[in-house]
Amino acid sequence: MREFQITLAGRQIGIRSLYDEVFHLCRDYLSDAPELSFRIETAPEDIRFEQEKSLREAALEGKPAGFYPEPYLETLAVYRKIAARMPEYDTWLMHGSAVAVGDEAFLFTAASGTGKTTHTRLWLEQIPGAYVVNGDKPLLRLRNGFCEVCGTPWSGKENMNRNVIVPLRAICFLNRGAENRIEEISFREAAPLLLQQSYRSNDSFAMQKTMALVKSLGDCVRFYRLFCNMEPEAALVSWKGMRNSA
Amino acid sequence: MKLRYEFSVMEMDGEYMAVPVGENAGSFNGMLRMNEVSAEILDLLMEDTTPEAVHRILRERYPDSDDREIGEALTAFLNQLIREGLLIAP
Repeated sequence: MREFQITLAGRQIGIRSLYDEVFHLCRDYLSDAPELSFRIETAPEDIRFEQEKSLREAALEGKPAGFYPEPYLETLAVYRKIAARMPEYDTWLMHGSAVAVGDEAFLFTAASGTGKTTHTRLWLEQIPGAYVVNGDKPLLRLRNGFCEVCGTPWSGKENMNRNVIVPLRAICFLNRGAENRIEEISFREAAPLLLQQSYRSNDSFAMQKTMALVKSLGDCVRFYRLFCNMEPEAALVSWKGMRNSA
Repeated sequence: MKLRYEFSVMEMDGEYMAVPVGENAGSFNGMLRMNEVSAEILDLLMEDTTPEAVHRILRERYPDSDDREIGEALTAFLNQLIREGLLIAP
């Protein structure tokens, strides 16, 4: 059993975990602020839930069943509990890779296997000063009519993340294409995709709040659809397309 | 008839989105996109009801609309819910 606290999206979160893995994962986000926003605790049934969920999803996708070590499954359970609470604080989890350049961030999102990681790497190679805020599961926070993207230690297989909060300028939906081109899309087009990529709580209050937060994105972020291949030019096309729009 | 799940519904730029919530919501990974009338029907289906009862309520809410059009809209939406396995028949 391990007890510690972290800061995510400006919130102080107390964690009591069964294994040390969660503590090690969160090492760059540890804090000792006196007051907690909330506290979470995992139990063996949370770990079982993650394993069963993983098996269900593998079956649905026709993939071989994967059995994972309990310490790893506990890290998933902890983030699930955190994500379930975050809408109370105008913050929610969205699947995607958030990359920042200077003082603004861009979120790339897409169905699994489309090439988010590849496109992220191209940005790191091609765009001076680019860095990853979170490569897989960033938190988005709405504050004073603006959206910010927040680093978290839960950042996928590549484990690319940084403990920063950066204003979010645009969200880009990736699609594979033979040639590289980008187009701005309306919020109406983006809304179902945004919901699909947002963490869905089973709790109706939290889900209603998440939907309201997604709706608010329409007023403070721009949306793009990118068709891209794996050539370095793809990063330059998306960077210029999103940076140059007024 | 009744919905298999409870739904959270939100209007977004003129279109209504519905996402399942509750204990077994995870077994339906999709979402529903619909117009305002369908969103009203969805709301009526949160409680156990019948197609006739829903039709009657819609006629009361839209007295200026053609009765046949209301029936067709209702049938189309109920069929969509049945196809997607979201409606429990009586």
